[in-house]
Amino acid sequence: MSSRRPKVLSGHRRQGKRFIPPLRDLEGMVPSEWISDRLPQFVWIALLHMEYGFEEGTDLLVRVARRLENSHNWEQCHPWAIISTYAQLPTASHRQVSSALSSTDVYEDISAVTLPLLAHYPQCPLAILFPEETPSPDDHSEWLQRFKGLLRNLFDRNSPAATFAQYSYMLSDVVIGHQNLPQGFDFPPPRVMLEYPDTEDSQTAGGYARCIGQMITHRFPMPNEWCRYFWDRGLELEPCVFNEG
Amino acid sequence: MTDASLFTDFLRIGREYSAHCREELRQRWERWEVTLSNNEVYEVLGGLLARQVSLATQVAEAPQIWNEHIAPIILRSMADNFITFCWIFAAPDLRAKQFIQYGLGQEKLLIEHYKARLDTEPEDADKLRDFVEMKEAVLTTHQYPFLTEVNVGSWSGINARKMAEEIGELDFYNFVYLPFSAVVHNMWQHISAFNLNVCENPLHRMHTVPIDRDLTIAHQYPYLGAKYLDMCFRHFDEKTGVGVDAIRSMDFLCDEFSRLGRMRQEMDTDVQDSSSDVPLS
Repeated sequence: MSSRRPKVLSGHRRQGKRFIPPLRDLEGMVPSEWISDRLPQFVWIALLHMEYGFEEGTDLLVRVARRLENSHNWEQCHPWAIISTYAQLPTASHRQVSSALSSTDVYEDISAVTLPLLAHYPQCPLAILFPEETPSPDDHSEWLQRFKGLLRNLFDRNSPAATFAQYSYMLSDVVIGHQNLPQGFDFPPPRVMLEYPDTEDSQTAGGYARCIGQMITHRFPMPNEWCRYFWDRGLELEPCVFNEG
Repeated sequence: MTDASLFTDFLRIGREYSAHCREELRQRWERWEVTLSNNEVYEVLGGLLARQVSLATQVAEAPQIWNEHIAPIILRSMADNFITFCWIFAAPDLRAKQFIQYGLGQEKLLIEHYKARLDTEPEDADKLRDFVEMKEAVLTTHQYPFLTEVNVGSWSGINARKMAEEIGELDFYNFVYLPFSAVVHNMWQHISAFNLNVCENPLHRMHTVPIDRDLTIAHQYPYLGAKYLDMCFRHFDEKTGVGVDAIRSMDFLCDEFSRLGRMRQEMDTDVQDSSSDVPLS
């Protein structure tokens, strides 16, 4: 064993008194935080999983994707399953998009998941999908506690809950042709993801899903209004809680 | 054994430890062959050694500060003192004078700032004038202010890291001086651990909220203080060839803490050790 210690911070580029890590040195790299900048965008999908389970929730999301596919020119817009997308929709498209949903077999199921969210976060962009509804928090009093449990699971972006949400977003984008896959790439089916994180295939699929999920921050202006509102609203909904231990 | 009696024991150990430290200092000073023709060297090195004793004993006699809020601040001063002490010892004739001149210059600078304030804050002028006169009189006992140079850079001409490197104590700098500096300067890595409390409500994205946390007494702090003093004593002995027959104060402290620990175990007292990220170097 060598008696010389390895040089610390080797691989970092020195700039005066600063040591820049290699990833931060790559051109075009824009740091973003999972919790601040991306988690709120995936809560809708995560709520579908919470209500219906991963497989059925993903299936529902795909069916919604197909219903909405032709309601708007999503190509020019943003990933349709991401909440902030609905804040970017031109007003002229609102009725078209909400009608495409209201008249379908998926409406009841999707509203059961979305209305409690709108009841507690009234400025959520998804409100344009339910223009006739004015949900009240009193009608969904137990929902908030379940939602808190879900949020807790989403904080770790490698957790099954967070990875499933990012996977389902990726899948729904593939279904409506927004996701360009490399030639010969085998898109991992939901049954592979179900095993996450216990198998190598599911870990690979999860890694790919998180990579795609990370890219959404490039498609929205920062700071993001929905993300900012989502976290600020939390302080209005409930007081702080501290572990007395 | 109650917490109160444990505290009393800590106070007793601290007092006895301090007596041993002062005896060690006294013997070293008396056995060191001092020459008055070169008195700056002896005064600077002796003063720094006495300073280290003061810091170690003040820590040892104050169990209420044996926690992450306060003790590291004093220990960082001790770390700085050790580096300075060893660095001056490496070339004492030149560096002791440099150390003194720098300190006198800083005093002159402070006096000049106060004098400038006299012009703009006349309401306190009398008190301030008296204070300035007193300060100048003290400075004059060392050197005339009009002959005193002011240096606003580092007193040694190099930074603490370089000093540590030159005396072969870079590990001490990296693992002691630097981490404790975060406490002294109230940096994020310290306050995020000790002055912010995590809100457990997931709706609040696990934000943190300010807190003045009650911390348990951790006897690793007087131990570290004793260690840094002992390091100064050993360095002094090595450089001067002086030998003492006083009880080694660090051994006394360790023995007493061990004895107390055994007693506690026997009486099955539940005294928590504080968990901290403070290095045990």
